[in-house]
Amino acid sequence: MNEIFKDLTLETSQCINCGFCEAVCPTIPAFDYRTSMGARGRINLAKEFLNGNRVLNFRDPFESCLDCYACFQVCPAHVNSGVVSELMKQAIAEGQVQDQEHQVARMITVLIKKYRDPLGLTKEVTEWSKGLEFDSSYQTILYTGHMYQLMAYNKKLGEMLKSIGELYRFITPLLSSLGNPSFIFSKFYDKKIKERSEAQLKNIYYLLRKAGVKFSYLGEEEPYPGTLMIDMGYVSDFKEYAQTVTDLFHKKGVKNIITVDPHTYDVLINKYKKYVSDFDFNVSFYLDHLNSLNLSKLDKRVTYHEPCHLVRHTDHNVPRDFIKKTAELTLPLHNGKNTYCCGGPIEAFYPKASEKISERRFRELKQTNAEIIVTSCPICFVNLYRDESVMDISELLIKLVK
Amino acid sequence: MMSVTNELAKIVGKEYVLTKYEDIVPYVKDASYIEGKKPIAVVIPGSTSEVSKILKLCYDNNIPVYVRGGGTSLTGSSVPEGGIVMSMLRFDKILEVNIKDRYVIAEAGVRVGELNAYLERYGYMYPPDPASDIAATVGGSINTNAGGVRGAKYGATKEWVLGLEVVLPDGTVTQFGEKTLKRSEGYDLTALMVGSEGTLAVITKAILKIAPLPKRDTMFLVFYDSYKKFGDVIGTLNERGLIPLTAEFLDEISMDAVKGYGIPYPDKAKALLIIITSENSDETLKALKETDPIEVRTIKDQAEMDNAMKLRKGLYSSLLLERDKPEQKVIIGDIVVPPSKISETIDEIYRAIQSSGMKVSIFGHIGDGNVHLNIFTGPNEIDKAKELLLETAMIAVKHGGCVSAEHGIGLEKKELLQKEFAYRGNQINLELMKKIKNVFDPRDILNRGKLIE
Repeated sequence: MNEIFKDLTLETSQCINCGFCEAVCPTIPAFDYRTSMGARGRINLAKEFLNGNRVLNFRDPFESCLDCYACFQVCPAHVNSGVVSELMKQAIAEGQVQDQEHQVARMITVLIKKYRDPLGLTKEVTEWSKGLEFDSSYQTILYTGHMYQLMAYNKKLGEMLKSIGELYRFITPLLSSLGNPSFIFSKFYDKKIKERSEAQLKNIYYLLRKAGVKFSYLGEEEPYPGTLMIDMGYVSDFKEYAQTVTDLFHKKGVKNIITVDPHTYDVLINKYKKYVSDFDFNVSFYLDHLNSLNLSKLDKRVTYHEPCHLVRHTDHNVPRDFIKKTAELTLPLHNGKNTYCCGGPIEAFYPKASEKISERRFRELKQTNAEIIVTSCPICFVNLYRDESVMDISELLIKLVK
Repeated sequence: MMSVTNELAKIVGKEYVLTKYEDIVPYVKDASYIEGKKPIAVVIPGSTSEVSKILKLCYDNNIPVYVRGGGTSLTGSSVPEGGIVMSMLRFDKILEVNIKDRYVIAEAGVRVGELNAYLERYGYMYPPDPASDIAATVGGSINTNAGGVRGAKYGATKEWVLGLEVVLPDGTVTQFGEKTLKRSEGYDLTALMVGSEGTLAVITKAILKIAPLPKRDTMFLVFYDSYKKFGDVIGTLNERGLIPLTAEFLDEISMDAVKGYGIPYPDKAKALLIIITSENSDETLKALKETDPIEVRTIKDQAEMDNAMKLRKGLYSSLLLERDKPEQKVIIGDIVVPPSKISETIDEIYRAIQSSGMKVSIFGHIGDGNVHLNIFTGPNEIDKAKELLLETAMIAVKHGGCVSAEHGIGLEKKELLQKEFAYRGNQINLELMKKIKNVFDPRDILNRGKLIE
């Protein structure tokens, strides 16, 4: 029995089909209440796979999983339907089901391995740092993981995929076989999001400097962490790639890594530590370093959208504590471990469903009657950015720092 | 020849008619161990008018319809036997809350837990709260007359349903009951729907009575060194006029299953009572101490109380962690006796378990005399488990109890229901039920094969 089979059997055999997971799974209402597109249905389908069925449409049910782990929070038998999806995506990526690998997913994996960025944008992702000074020693690095920078391009990529429809099947293999396609992707971005994301990164830079933290930045040498590879099931590719990233950090003399977004933070502390034996760096989230800042009070009602990859995947609640210290915080109906996904992780492949999820979450955040909606994840920010009340926590803190 | 799926698509739109294997396979099972037969299609209507048209189509063509809410039935009540499945999950709106008149109007697919989270902001609640409330729907819980952990004080669902919008099998839409807190208008058709398991009509909307959210004053965790000691607790509390909000018990296997919730147990603890009070906490504590426990732990912290209730609500699923082999299923029983008979009933049940040689865990809502047997059943032991369920159900009947407290009859307990009626010489009840079914659904299209033959 191969590893995927073994792990899937272990995870699904504890499921009693009680349906608790289905009730909290954001993709169920987003896909018009089709059970196969929710947490319980996914476990049922994984059992079909384990029983030898290889020809069903496994791709949509599993690739539409947000990886938000809402299901795991409520499962009394400790089954994680999110992990079931991860394993099934791995089975798809490794060709264990017939012809269901997504060409875009393959293209992104190829590009990451070749250019250390999902779209080959190694220069563009450093533009935020123009004119900023960094420490000469790489002992402590600010590691952006390209996440804030990619938001502007990701939004356009989603729109492109939508407009070309099924043509992506032909276009994407072509793109990945050519030289660096960054000359195409670099032209398509959302200008407003690009400016905003770069400003958010600058805020983070200034906040850390203000707190007296010394750090460097790898610039064009900074590799993307490979998050999408593992999210899309390319585990073997990820392991190999993560080792090259780790080797680079060692070569540069890195000891401490300050991450700026929840996804990179999560992938480093959970996946790198799992798959790379010599990943021995101290990994932190930038807000962990800002306790010494003197912040003024904000006379406004604030609500906080807690990112799944912070509160669930890494149990990190520092952003909420910062907001509590500075403003009157009202949490939405789904909060803490029961937070509700922003829909972002499936924006590129399932834009309509992603939109429904973010709309629902935005409505819930608005129901708190807060004047400001804060989040601490660039993906959540872009997906919830439906009016000017939405801001990244770095934007809030930069206004309040004395 | 007419294609049912095409006709259904004309009514609801093709995106709401599922026919692919991967789309319909998750509807073949509910939370019970029973697996049904694949339906021709799953249809997901979004309005009462669509439900009406679907039913008319099926009625005219004699196609069985299996209505599904949260799919949380523990007796196979929502599994299909072919036909079509009608999922009610798009009926997900809370339409009106009226505190002055103490009611809420909700569509059938609203989850019970979600309804209560919504009502909480008004300081109110809809009291029936089955352990599966996170997933169970308003429509489904009415159809099973669900109970729950507040049953000791507030009773089951039937006490809280004021009115219903229903669609009859031939597509006729009507409303039973009203927004008033009482009525005296002949046959209570609203009450008839409660516990009818989708065999008479399809519930689309419910007018539900609500109550002020009670203050949870104190939680007591009472540990015993033997199951024999807690049987009389509820009777003792009742005698002193101390009705708790919640009274739950767990045996040793159940306690092991929920160790992960971080509640430390004293050595030698073999049974646990969870009691929540809203008043008379000192008197309750005094009474509990007189029942020879190993320890009575008093909890005032609301988060700790939430944790203990989460533990209880997930207990059935957590029991899977106690299986000796992964292929074992946990088959759950659901009997009820008058509280004064709990002690002797449990005693006899344990003797029956011992003779059966099967591994069984017992827990339940002891506050209203409800006991759940959970039988760890291997693939070749289903018949043996059914025998044990029958035997223990008849122990309950002998003590003035019933074969189903809150899970309904579904496919699993049809024989038990007949036995209960026969034991009391009430066979006529079954005939009356069949006649009622025939009045509502002469072509037997709704939930065919469930509850009664």
